[in-house]
Amino acid sequence: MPILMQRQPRVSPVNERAPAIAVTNLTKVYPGGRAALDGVSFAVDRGQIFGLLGPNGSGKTTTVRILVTLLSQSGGTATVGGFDVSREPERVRAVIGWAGQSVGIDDDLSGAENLALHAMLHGLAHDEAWSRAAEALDELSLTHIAQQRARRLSGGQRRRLDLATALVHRPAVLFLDEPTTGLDPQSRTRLWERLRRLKDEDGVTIFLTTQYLEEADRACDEVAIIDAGRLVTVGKPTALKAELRQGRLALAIPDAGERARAERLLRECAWVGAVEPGNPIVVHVADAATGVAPLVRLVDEAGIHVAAVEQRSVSLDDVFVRYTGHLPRTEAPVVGATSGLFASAHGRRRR
Amino acid sequence: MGRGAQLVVILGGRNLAKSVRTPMLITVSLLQPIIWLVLFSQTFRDLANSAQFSSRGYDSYLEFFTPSMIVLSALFSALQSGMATVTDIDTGMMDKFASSPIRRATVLGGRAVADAATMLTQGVIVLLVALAMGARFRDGLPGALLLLGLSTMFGLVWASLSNLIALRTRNSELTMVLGLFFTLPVLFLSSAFFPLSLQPEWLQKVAVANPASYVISAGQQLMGPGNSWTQDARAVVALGAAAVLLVPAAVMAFRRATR
Repeated sequence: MPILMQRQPRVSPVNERAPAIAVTNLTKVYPGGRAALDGVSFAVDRGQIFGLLGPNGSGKTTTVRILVTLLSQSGGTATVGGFDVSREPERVRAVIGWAGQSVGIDDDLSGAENLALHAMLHGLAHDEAWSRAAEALDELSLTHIAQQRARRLSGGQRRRLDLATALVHRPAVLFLDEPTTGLDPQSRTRLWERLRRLKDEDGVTIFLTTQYLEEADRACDEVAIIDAGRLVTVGKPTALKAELRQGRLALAIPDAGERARAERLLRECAWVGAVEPGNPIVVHVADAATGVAPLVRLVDEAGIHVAAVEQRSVSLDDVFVRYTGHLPRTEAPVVGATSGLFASAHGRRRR
Repeated sequence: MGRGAQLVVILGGRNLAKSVRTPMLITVSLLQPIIWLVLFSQTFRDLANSAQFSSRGYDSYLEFFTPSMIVLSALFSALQSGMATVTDIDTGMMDKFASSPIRRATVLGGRAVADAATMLTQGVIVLLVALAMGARFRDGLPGALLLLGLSTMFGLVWASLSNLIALRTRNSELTMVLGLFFTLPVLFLSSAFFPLSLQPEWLQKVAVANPASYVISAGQQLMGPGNSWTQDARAVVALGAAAVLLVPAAVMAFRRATR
């Protein structure tokens, strides 16, 4: 036995050589035949913030639930911290923290009790669990609700408390399913700051899903875009945007009738890409610089008065549209919160 | 203490804290058996004067009836056990447990520990009410402990039925309604209210297959004529048989639901 005191590692041990998360050809078919995932593959390096982007029903939550060992896959493999999620689920559970899309906290326990319980479930001794609980409350600005029963907390406070349960035991790999949904802008900013610190100071790998592309653009080292169960692209946000040669042009057309006519016209035009309706109409063209003249000519020849044309900068939204043909939030809106992920439509669980 | 035992204590403590913090639930599930105890012991008071009754060694109907209500309170607690499981599913806590590095058995253990503690406490309260009303034990404290032990064992077996329903339906209303659907007949088709020998022959036959008959008969024996180890052994065997049917089914449903 070495006598030297070793510094207690800040995070739970993982297989050092393996990527933090590796997913190969992952498929999930729910009973009834609905394919939620169709051959998804990606890898996440240790210490990265990785964002999985996609509209509702695209397979984000299914992916997370397979990775946190709550759901079995139909095919393919997935490892977290170097451990196979279906063959070594106990070891995966020992290295992860997880906050689901809907909150998972005990209404009858106080904020501090909820956190201490989670810390103890992750093997921390009584005293350490309570001091970690106090730390986690502080980190998420929840100290004032330490003694309050969770039942009496506001929606945003419950959300933050749930995030704290995912962090309290200092996991090596953190899974957050739409973490910023239901948070006010200030809490959102603070959460991103906290996640960045976790990554920079403790080397935590963070896997998150979001529908907010602009957030992912700013915070993620790498993003993957998923649509209808298929991964359409993976890469660094800057690279994905650079890859996109196409540009966006905004056409301001004051008259509503003419605007509708212009929209129809543009949709029929072969060399115009996606058309985002609204005022101005935003159209995607192969090259923004050379696209202005033919675009104005096209609309002008139809007798439509264009007040202004403006070039728009490329965002992840554009990447998304480029790969999926639609905007992430043009899908059906989220209908309330599901009552516990358990109860939501995630079909058969592991045996 | 091993990590498994520690977790059972932690989870059991958490479950108990939840019950204590919802005092209405405990009060109502306790009031029911106490109200029945008071009402029925008055309604059927004169039954004890009949030769058939006094010849069996009971001083009063209250003595005969007290074990039935202790068992009833344990069965009501058992029904709440399934409801608590549905709550854990609905609030997402079960998912948190399932994604934590703990053995599934510790979650079940924590549930059973809390259930047993609730059943014992409620049994003691019903018993104290009965004693205050004038009931007496032939065998004193050991008799009382034996009775509480048997009713708690029955309650735990019944809790596995309630949890089985809970895990299959994931619906608290169904868990309660289906639980009562099984619980009340089990009670009425036994010697809970009248000695079996006073009941129709078909019912006596049904009672043979009813674990409640054995537990309640053993309890009645304890309160009235005095302990009979034969009766106790029969009760334990009947409970064992019911446990063999119900516990593995509940554990399997739990494993399916959490992994």
